[in-house]
This record gives sequence, C-alpha cells and structure tokens, in this order.
Amino acid sequence: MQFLSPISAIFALSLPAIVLMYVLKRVYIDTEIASHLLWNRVLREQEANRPWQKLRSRPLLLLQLLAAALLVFALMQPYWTREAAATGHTVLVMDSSASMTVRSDDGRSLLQQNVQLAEDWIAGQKEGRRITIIATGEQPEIIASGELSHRDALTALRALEPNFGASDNLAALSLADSLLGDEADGSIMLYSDGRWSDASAVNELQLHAKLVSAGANGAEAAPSSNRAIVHFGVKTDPGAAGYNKAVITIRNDADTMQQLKVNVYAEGSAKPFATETVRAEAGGWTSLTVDKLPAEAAYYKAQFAGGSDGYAADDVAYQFPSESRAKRALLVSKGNLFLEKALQLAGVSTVKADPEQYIPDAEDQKELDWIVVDGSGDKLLADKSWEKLLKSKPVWYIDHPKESGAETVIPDNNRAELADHPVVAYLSFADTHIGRLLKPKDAPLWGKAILTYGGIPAIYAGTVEGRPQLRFTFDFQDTDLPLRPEFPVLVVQAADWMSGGSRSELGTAVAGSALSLSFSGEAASAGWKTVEQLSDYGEGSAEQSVTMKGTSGETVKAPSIPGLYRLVEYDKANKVIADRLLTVTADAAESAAFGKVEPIAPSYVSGTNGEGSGSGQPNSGQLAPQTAATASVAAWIALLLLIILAGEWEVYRRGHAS
Amino acid sequence: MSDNTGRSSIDAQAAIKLLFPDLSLLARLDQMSVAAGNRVKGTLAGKRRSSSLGGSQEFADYRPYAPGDDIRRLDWNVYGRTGRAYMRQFWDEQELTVNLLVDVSRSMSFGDEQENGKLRFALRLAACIGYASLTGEDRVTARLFGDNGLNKELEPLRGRSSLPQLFQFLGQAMPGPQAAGTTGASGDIADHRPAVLSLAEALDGVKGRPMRSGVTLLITDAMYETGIEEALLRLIAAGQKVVFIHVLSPEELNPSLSGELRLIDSELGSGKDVAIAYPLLAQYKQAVDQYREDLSRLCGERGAQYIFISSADSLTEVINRDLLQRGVLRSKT
Repeated sequence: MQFLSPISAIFALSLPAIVLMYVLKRVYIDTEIASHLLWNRVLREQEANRPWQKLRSRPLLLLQLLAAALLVFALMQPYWTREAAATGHTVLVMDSSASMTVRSDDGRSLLQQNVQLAEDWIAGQKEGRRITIIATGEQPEIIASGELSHRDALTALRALEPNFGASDNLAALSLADSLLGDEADGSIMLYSDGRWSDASAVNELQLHAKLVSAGANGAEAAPSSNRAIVHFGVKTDPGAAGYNKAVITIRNDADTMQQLKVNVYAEGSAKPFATETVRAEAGGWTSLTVDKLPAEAAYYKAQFAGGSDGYAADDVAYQFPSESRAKRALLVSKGNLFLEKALQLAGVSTVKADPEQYIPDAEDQKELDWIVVDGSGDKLLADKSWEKLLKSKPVWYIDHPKESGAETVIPDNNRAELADHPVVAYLSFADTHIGRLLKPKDAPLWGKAILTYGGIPAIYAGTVEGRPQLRFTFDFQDTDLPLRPEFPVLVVQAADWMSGGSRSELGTAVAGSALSLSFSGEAASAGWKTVEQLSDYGEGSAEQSVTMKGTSGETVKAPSIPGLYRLVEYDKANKVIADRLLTVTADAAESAAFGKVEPIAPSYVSGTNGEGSGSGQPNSGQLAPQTAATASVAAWIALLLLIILAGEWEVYRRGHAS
Repeated sequence: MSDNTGRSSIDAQAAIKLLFPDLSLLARLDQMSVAAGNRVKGTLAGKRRSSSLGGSQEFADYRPYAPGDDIRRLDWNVYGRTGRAYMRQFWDEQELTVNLLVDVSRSMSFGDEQENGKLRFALRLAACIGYASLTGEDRVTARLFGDNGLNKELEPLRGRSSLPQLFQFLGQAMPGPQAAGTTGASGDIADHRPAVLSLAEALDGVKGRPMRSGVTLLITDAMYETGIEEALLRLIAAGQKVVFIHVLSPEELNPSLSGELRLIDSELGSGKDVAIAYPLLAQYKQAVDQYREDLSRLCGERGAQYIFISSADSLTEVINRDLLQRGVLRSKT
C-alpha cells in the first residue's frame, strides 16, 4: 500500500494533541463520598503512575484517537496498485517503433521499460482476465490474442523486439478498438512514448473503448536531445576528378544550439577519413560537405562523433558512390523521334543504330548501359553478334505488330489495367488509344505483364539473369501515347528501370520493408550478411538466409535492424556469384517524430449510449476530475479534523469529557 | 436549649417520631430482649442470672457448712439423713448492661439527606435495641463517638421510665430536616474538624465510667483506617460481649458514579481524580466485599459477632433476620 499524500501524516500530530489535552485536563467534577477507605484499595494501582494511568479506561479518548487516526489515514490518501474493479478484456498496444529504442539514463530502452511496466500491470491482474497484446509495425501484429493465461501473455511480451521499420499506429489502434468490439468493459492500454508521426491521423479516430495511456513517456522522461543525419549524399566531385564529394544534412532536435561533429569513414576503415564540425541551431537543419572522398570505396559511412545520443538509429548513415555518368543507351531503330527525344529528356544519351547497318563490337558493349530494340527484335536475335550483345545487356524491346496476322490483335476496348510496378507508377493510360497489339504465342517467361490494354498484355517487365528487361507489345506509331503528357513520364520511369538493373548496389531500404529484388538466374540461394549493424540488436554477423521463391521479380524482406548488409547470392555449388550492398535505415518518420509531435488523443465514443462523449483526451480527461474531487474531499476532511480538535478543546476547557 | 453541637434539643415525643416512623415496631420489641451470651455481672439485682452466687431462688450447688454461714441456708433434710451440715447455694440474679456505641462520624452522617442514611439507620437500630433492653429491665448505656464535636455519653438508664431519656438522647443526634443546614454533611468541606482515623482512638475519646461487663453493640460503618482490632480487643478485655454491626449505605455498596470525578473524602476533605468506568466499579465492589470479609474474619478471630447491614433494608426485616435469627435479640416468650 502506498500513499498519494504522505505529507498529510503531519496531521497525525493531532493525536498527541488530543492525548495531551486529556493529560493536562485539570477540571474534575467534585463529588463527595463518605470515605476514601474503600476507594483506596481500588485506586492504589491507579495512583502509582499517574499521568499514564489517567488515560486508562477512557473509551471516549480511544474513540477520539481512533477517529483522528482514521481521518489522518484518509488524508494520506492510501491506495493499492491493484486494479480490483476492472475485469474486462484489455488490449495492450505496445509501441515497438524505432523511437522506442531511446535509452534512458539507466541504459534501458523505452521499450524495455514499457515491457516491464506492462509485465507489472499484467502481474497485478486477476488470472482469467482476457489480455490481448498488439505490437505496432508496418502491419500491427497480435502477439497474444485474448490470453486468459497471463504466463503466455508475459512470454509473448518478453519476446517483443523493436521494429525499426515503418509503423502504422492508426492501424494498431483501429485493430485494438475493433478487437474489443462491443465489449462494454473493454479497454485499451497504450504503452508508447507518444512520438507518433501519424498522431494527427490517429486523433481523428473515434474509439469505442477507453484508451488509457500507460507506460514510460520518452518526451517527459528525457527531453529530446536527439540529433539526426537526415541525408547523406555522395556524388562525383566536380572539382577533383577521381574523387567523390559528400553532402550531409543534419537536424538538431534539441532545444539548444549544438556543436555537432561528424566523422566520415570510407569503406570499412576504423579511422575516420574526415571529421567535420558544424553548428546546428535548436530545432534547425544544417548541412556540411566533405570533399575529396576516395572514389574507390564501395560505401561511405557518416556518423556523429562522441557516441550516440538516446536514439542511435539516426546517428549513422551509409551511402554508395553514385553512378556519375549519364546512361548510354543503344537505340536500335529505324527512326523514332518521340522516343529519342523522351530518352534525352530522361537524361539518357542515345546512340542511334540502324539494325541493317550496325554491327556491334566489344568496344561498344563497354560503353553501353542498355539497349532499346525498336522493332525487328526477332530478326536481330538471329544474328550472332547481336544475340551476344542483347544477352549481355538489359534490353527494352518494342514490338512492331504487323497490319494483320496471327499474332496481331486489335483490342476490343481501351480499358487499361496496371500492375504495381515502378515503370507504370504514376500513370493511368486513361483515354489512351492503342490500335494494334502483338500477342506473342508464348508470353515471355522472364517477366509479367504490368499493363494490359483491353485484356491484352501491353507491357512486360522483368529481369533476365539480373538484368532488367522491358517489352512493349505495341508500336508507338499505332498509338496516341507519345502525344500524351504521360509519355515522357513513362519513358523516364522505363529508363530508370532499365538503368537500375545495372547498379551494383541495392541502395537504401527501410528496415523490414519488402524489397523488389532480382536475383541472378543461377542463384540457388541467397542471404543477408551483416557488414555493420546498430549495436545491441540482432545476432551480429550471423547470415540471414533469404527465401527465393522464383528466379525473378522477387519480393524480399529487408533486414529488420538498421545497418549495412550484403546480399550474397550462391549458385548450386554454393559458390558466391554476386554480392550487393544494402543500407537498412529506420523509418525516417520515427526520427522526425523527435521534433514537435501532436499528443495522442483520439476521441472516445461511448459504445453504450452511442453518443460521443466529446472527451478529447480520454486518458487525462478522466483522471483530472477524479484527482480534483479527491483534493476537495481532502480539504473537507482536513476541516473536519480541525473541527474535531476545536471540539476537543471545548471539551477540555469545560472539563466535560463524558 | 442547645448543646455544644448546635443542635437544638428536642422533646421525647418528637424523638420517638424521628426514631420510629413505624410505631408498630415497638409492640414487637416489647416481646424481645437482648441476648446476654454468658452469665452477667451487674450491680443491682435484675432479671439476669449473674455469674456470681447470690440470693435468688435458683439452686446452684451444695457446699459443706463453714462456721459463720447463714444457718437459714442449711439444708436440714440432708443434715437429717446424713448428719452432716451442707449449705444450699443459689445463683445471684443481676441486671445486664447493654452498651450502645453509635458511630456519628462524618462518614456515617454522609448522605443523610436520604431516608436511608447510615446515621439515621444506626440511631434507629440503637433505639430499637435500647427499647428492648429497657423494657427487659436491663441497664442501658449509650454513647455517640467518632466526631469530637458530637461525642456524648448517656448515663446508665434503667427501666421503662428511662425510655424518653434514651430516645431524646438518640433523637438529638438524628439528622433531621430542621438540622439540615447545620449538619456537617452538607457543610463546607474546608472547615472540617480533624477527623479521627482510628476506631480505638474514637472510642477512647468518650471518657466515661469504666465499663461494666455486658453486651456492647458497636454500630459503625467501619470507615477507619486503623484501630478496629485494637478497639475490639479493648472491649472484650473489658468483659464485653461485642456485637459489631457494620452499616453501609446502598450508595457505598453500589455507587452510581460515572465520568471523571474528583472524589472528596467527607472526613479528610482530600480529593482523588478518578475516571470511573465499568471495570473500575467492578473492582470497587470486589474491594467492598473483600473488606466485609476481612472484618468478619477479624471479629470471628476475636470472639465478636459480626453483622453486616445495608442501610437500605427495613428495620423490621433487620430485626427479624439479622438480630433475632443470629441471636443478638431473643424472644422473651
């Protein structure tokens, strides 16, 4: 049992005051009796130790002391931590987002503290109370569902790991609310630091169950002193050939100006290549540049000097040297002005080649990044030197369907169906007319149709041996697409897609997100090898295997802990055939949440009467009047105690004690 | 006429009214007399068989004739048969002295406002015994003791004709409504006369004639710290058959006190601060019982008779139950 107001124990001084009044009481009623002779026998003992004995056998005194003690006890506001009344289904929403990895002074992360608090809370519940635990994440995860056995719930809770990926808090709360459904006595307990980037969306939520904010609050526990590397860019140094230049953008979330020191490391070296110091205003952004980075490094690392702050995930950033030169594409065409101009707009320098006259050679192959084959693809493949070239480079085929023929199809309608693919992202193909399409007898095995027009595949996308491939089954001359504003976008995205396959590294991904990767055709297995990793999480350098479902177009889950990883591909003989680097970062929104973020206060709609209570902040809104009521009652009790003391004094003064 | 106590003397008629609210009791008392225990020794001839031989009609013994004996007492029949001269001896019949010692200390007179006050009761009881004794032609002395201001002794009385004198003596000591203002009971506590704490001293304070052997009825509340045993011994040594009549008022037996009181001793004027609750009252009753037992044992050891009477009891009942049955009085018939 604890006391809300232990200071009220000072009122216990009223007890000795009452006793003192009894001891000091001088006025007794004079009563004459015949003789003391008989009384002496009785009173002998009582006379021996007088002041103390005086207090004996006085029920009134005992009653008064008891009343005063009870009042003092009430003033101290005793409470038990056990919640005896609540028995309903409770959903614990555990915020496991990256911002919960902030460490407090005792070295424990907020998540660990919250897990401990939740464990304590569960331990205080009656066995048999239904407990569901939801961990936030990209998809909210129910790690314990309606557990009646608290041991199972605790086991699930202890296994909770931080999620550095994106987290959909709105979904987690909605899920929690829907789980409780119509359960009138259900409640949601939110264990979070309150740093939600989607707080404004969450606040528009209308919950039907009570939301109680529990758990350690990071913002209160430790004022934000976070600093973040927001961006780390590396490009070729225009001033010095053969060197790279890095631009680092830094954000200071602290309330005060900070001198921030950033170390930049080249690949794998323990010694920083350069150290830059920059002044960052409170809540401000600033950037710094580092020149003359060695170009041959496979990756660079930027890290704050002097250890990490509370939130370590945004204190380090990795970057790969960018492909400096513009992409060169071989445009094998008899002339396609729209395409040529569009490719130029996309920053691709094109080399025009007439398939009739051009004979590819080895020198050309080095210069070229990819090839556009505008028509007569089959014819070229028949040629040996062309075949060699086409098999070694990413190729974008554009079919030229004949006026009529077995493979030529005229679409019935102009309904375009788009797959989720970077090439056709942001496009709609609305009102686009395609006159003829080639329907190959055998659909290409390397890819899938990302656009169907009138039910006929119009664009195929995929990879062949890790090289991107595109196939447009229509001629640009049979369509009004080049006249539409979507056309340059399509070509830019297609050019990006074609260039992407040639990149040696995988780039940057948010932890735990799905990556659309392509594996070599020979790859039999693949795995993530840790190069560097955020300390204190995961199993270090242990290799995580990647499940490969097919040969191409794979969706692979990125590692869940921020760091630098190497995707290693093995062939059937377990020989390394390719390795690519991937930077895994925590969700940027988590880092951004260290700035000013709205408090989480979704509105509460009472499920029983169907009326919105209008309580904007259910967690604090319900507690505040209660404490106010307690405070006013305490004042009354204090007054009552004073009245009793005054009455006591009156009794003392008059000499009437009974 | 007024004596040194300030009490106005009253005539016998008023005294009888005070002493005998129920006059029918007198008729019953006519049939009784004080039991004399052993043979008694008096100065005058009376109706009591004396412990000495004398001239009564009751034969006691024979003894051989000695020269100078009254030959009228010679038993001629024995002489005729045996030729030896024997004298006939007879018991002497003498009067019995009944000493009435009534405690009039302040503790006795405390609570006299009530009809069942101890002093009132004690005086009435003394009057009853005195009446029975005088009608039985015994010699009666009466003494009031325990209060220096009130101590008085009545010269020995004999015969019915002395009854008014006895009643007057006792009636004067009677706390009556006419004397209420001047009695010590409700007077100022501060001007108490020094109280006597020893019973022996209190009895010695009445200096009178040496006592003749007889029956002494000591009527007191025994509120004396010391001297009770000594007093008993002295009385017994003076040849008395002692009857110790212990009178306590109902208020003393079963006090109706409660709360926080300063108990003031009516004799000493000193006070005691007491918070009275039920357990204390229970202890008090136990102490009273213990005291009665102690007195009873003391009397038993010294050969005195102990009789406890509550002043709330009716006189008739007391005479029948306590005095007749326990042999203090006896029926003449």
